[in-house]
Amino acid sequence: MTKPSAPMREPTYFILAALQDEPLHGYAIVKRAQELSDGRVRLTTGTLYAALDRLTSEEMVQVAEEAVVNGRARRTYELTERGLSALHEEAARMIAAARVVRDRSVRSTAATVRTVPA
Amino acid sequence: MTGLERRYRWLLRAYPRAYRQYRAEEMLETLLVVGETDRRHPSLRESLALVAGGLRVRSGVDRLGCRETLRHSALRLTALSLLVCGVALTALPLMWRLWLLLPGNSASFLHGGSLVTPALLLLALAAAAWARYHLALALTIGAFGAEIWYSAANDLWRAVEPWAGIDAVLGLRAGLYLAMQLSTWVCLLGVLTMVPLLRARRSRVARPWTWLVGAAMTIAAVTPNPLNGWVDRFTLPVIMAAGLVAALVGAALDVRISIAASAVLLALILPMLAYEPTSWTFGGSNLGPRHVLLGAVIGILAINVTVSRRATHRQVAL
Repeated sequence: MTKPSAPMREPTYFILAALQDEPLHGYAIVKRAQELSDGRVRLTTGTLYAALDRLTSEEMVQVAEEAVVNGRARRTYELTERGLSALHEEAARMIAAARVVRDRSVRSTAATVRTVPA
Repeated sequence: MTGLERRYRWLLRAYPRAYRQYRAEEMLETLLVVGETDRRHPSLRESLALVAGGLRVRSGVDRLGCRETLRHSALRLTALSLLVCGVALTALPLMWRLWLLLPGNSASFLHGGSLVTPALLLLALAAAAWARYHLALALTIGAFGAEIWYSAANDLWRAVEPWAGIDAVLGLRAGLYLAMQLSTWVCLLGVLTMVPLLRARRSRVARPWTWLVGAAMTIAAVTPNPLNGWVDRFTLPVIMAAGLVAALVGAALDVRISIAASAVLLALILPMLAYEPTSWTFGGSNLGPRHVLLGAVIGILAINVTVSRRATHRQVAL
């Protein structure tokens, strides 16, 4: 399996994030991802299952349970150790990227304060 | 079954049968909950996502996983598309000759063309399809050699007019003649495409490829070329439109389509570019058809390269 070296796409990140607390089925993942992203990530069903297929093949997500609800198959998905690790790596990458900007703004604020006469 | 469910089931047909057997009911469950109960028609956004998702599963781009695999697969499909194009175009004179020999047809005019070139390109196509790229490369070079031999043996180079008298020693006439032949560009681009495949690591995703080649060829077939005999005032707009369609289809579904179609379009346009009589006059700097064709070539390449680069990450990244 290939290890993701490039930044993760936003829908994938929020799908993994949606699964970090508990296993969820398709519709619940859509809703949770939308909540976590403040409504920014609105997954279509086609996008969701394409992402789940790829995440399953990369062993980041696995089927936790299969049930029949209203006569239809319903699978519940859960995060694997590999998926959790990838999610944490991506979060760390974004924190590091954000720190570049935040530290700079803090330094520039401090410099502005020093140059202002008392 | 409600009307909404029936429409969703129809849209899910975009996915292959095996995939539907595993996933369709689960997707339908999610679609019906997401789609709200009072809705009668699927939303446009959801419909487009289903169709694009289904076609991507069919094309296999979702399983490529990384840029390296995508690159290998795109090169392979480009080589196959070029060889299909080469076989079709070089076999045309042969088919025309056979048609004229049928009872009731006049055999007074026999369209020329080597039989060896299409045969070798067909063998190269078979070898490339089975991933025997060394053999395919040798056969493609052989096909190009056969084309040169045929044109020399039949003194076809003399058909090139503009530089007559000055190029007998330099061989420019032969070069210009070959530059006007589709087989030259198909072989040249085919060889350039296959060389990186010789050393590339074998892709773990080998199929499917036939419908992708078909899609690339369809885009190329609607452009003006000797295959369909379109050479008129609509030539340039159609070439540009085909390039744009290739870019859009590639961006929406599978970037390999736009790469393969661009290569085939190039192979079709370059002989036309060499054939433009105004291009081979000395000291002429007027804005003629050649410049517009050149602009079309550069435009198609620029659009496709830009779109392909942007779409590649989206199609292979997690």
